[in-house]
Amino acid sequence: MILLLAAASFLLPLWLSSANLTVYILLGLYAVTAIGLSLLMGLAGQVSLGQAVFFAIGAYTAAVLSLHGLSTVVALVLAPLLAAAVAAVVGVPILRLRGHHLAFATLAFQLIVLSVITNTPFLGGGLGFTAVPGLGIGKATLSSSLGYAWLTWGLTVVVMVVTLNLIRSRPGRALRALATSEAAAESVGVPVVRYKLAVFALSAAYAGVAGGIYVFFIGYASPGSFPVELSVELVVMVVIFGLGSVWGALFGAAGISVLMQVLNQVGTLHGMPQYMPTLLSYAAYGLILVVIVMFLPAGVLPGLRRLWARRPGGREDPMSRQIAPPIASLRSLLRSTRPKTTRADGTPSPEQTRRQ
Amino acid sequence: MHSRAGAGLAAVVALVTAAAACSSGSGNKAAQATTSSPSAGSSSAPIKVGLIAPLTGAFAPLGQGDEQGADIAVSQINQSGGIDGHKVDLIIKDDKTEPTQSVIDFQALLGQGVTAILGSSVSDSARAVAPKAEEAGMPYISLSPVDQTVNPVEPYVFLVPATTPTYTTRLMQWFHAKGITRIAVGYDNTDIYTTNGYHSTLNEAKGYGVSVVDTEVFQTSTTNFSTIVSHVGASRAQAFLVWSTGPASVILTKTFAAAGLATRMKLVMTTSDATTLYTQPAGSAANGVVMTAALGVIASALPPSPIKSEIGMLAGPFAAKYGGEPSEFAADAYSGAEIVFAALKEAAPGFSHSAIQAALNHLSLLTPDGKYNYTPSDHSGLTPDDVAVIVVENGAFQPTAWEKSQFATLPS
Repeated sequence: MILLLAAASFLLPLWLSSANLTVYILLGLYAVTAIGLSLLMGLAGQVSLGQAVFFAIGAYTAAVLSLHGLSTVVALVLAPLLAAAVAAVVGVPILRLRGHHLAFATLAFQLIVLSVITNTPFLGGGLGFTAVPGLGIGKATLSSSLGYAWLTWGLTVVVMVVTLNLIRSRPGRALRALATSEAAAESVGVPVVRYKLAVFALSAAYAGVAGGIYVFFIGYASPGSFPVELSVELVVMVVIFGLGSVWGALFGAAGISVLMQVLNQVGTLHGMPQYMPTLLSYAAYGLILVVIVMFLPAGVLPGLRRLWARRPGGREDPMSRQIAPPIASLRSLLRSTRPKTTRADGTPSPEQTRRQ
Repeated sequence: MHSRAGAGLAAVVALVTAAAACSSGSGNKAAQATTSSPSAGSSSAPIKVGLIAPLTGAFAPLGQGDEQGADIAVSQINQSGGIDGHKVDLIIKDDKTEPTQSVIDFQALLGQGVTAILGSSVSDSARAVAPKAEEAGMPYISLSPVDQTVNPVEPYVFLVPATTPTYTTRLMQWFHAKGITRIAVGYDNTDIYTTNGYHSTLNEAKGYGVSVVDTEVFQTSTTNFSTIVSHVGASRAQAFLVWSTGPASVILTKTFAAAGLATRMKLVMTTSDATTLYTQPAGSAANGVVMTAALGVIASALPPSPIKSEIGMLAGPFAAKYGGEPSEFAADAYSGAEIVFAALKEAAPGFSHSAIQAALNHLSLLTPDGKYNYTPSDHSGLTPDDVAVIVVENGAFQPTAWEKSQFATLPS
């Protein structure tokens, strides 16, 4: 089944128009980044509202090095390494934070990095880089979108295989323990700090290599190319289908990318009123996120599975009710204004007990 | 694991089918329009022109103006019978103020077989798309004030807003006429238009006997200008020239007025602030502020002239349809559309990209933005005479006394 999917997605670029091919490539790059974020948020239980910063660091590393004469392939290899190094360094203080504080710290980090880039002429300043060379070795450059599409497909496959194996491995199981309860994990000997840093760096590396391919493909990079909106979009991609799920991140990236393009297209069709693009891009998108967080906090797939299990004769899997900590904290943010319900006899509802 | 993979696979198969359906849909359009000319059999097939604009995102007010201006131009040309008997079909794409989206939009327009593209007013989008348009041999008429778009000149890329050297020369002419020899300069180092403006100022000042006695740097997001204003106040500048856009312009203006500097120093802003989005929030602090602007902004004060009639062709329908005066962005888009139509007329009946480009290369056309004279080595087409030096009086834009003295050399 998976082979069928792999073959179908490999052959798809042959039928896509130039614009849709670009969407395919971006989709793949965001999927790779989202898989890393899914590891971080789902497996290691750490929220990141600034993951696009590592995508940007990868892109800028690749752009600056190749514009200074370094081989584009070497620059592409160095992009994830630098992104991971930055994550490892900045993770030491940042990962001591929890919940909302960690979320805002990652967001602040992205804003700081963008500000530094804007004020550093060597990094292109506020004006950015144009004419970034295409990926290539020596005289041969990858110039067709089709080539980039297959490169992205290849990267996505490699990342998925690596990540799926990581999750099933011993360190992967230790990570899952981390996500549920750091105290419990620590008590059975999991080196919590080191593991969190390692996952943070790995997720940054995924974002970094994706950012590198992005800049060689688009040929342009400026602080405006990597706004906070991109970080939020990545979180939506990860959340929508299920945290900690590699397939979930892939489908989330695919779904959100296609949805955004469809909304974009529909908004500007002939005869559409002038407010339609604004309505579609903000209202529709925001509505989806709120609905998912409030009603399907574990993601669409686990939510659907639960509904399926609740049918007459079905068996509900207790594990599927688990809500990963980052979503629990997002959810509590949304629900904090609602009065808590107590049962008729005065005892607290299961809702209340669980929240304690 | 099995059920998850199964559900997931079903979802992906659905996605893939949907994507293939979408792509085959646009693929058909591409097949129909490979030569970018109306199909031979039908003599009334529409001519497609693309517009990429920031309809959503941070620059949505600019995109709104772009859409309004282009829309009026297209309605007018279609009402008068179109071009060579063909109606013009304007295809609008939203770039969401993101360079990545603008690249996708460009490729979509390319696939739909448009004859030319009016480019986004967002500088990031213009800088991402212009090289790709050049590579594809697609005439690209940029609505973003980025000097680098036409320096060096790229065969297929043309510019509608004036370049910062053009604005700067006009300002220097004004400084010279007013006997101002010492200025302070402030600029936003996160924006390419404002940064270019600063460099143009440094380049041209000496030639007009003007020396820059103080330089201040800020960002589009800066909210506190007290330090900058006190530095400027302590300098011996006779005027403070500020290259800025957005809220920063308003805050700086108010801080300047509150410091009482207006009595001994002229505050000079630039074209990006020639809008009610600046004068309304700035209120009385903007009184007496001088700035550059397109002539359309002071249309009512112009003597009867070809340029005044041309501006009226936009202002009249704009007031009727949207109320109020057209913004700089509406004027740029309207002028850009007129430029494209003029080139299309000459490129009839094939409307090929190369014929349009050839027509653009010697285009001479009066628009609300001024008189464009494109040549193979000049893809900006405007001169300082196309720029007005205006002053804000009680929230309204008026020509400065010096500008009035220049009315004899209005573009025509």
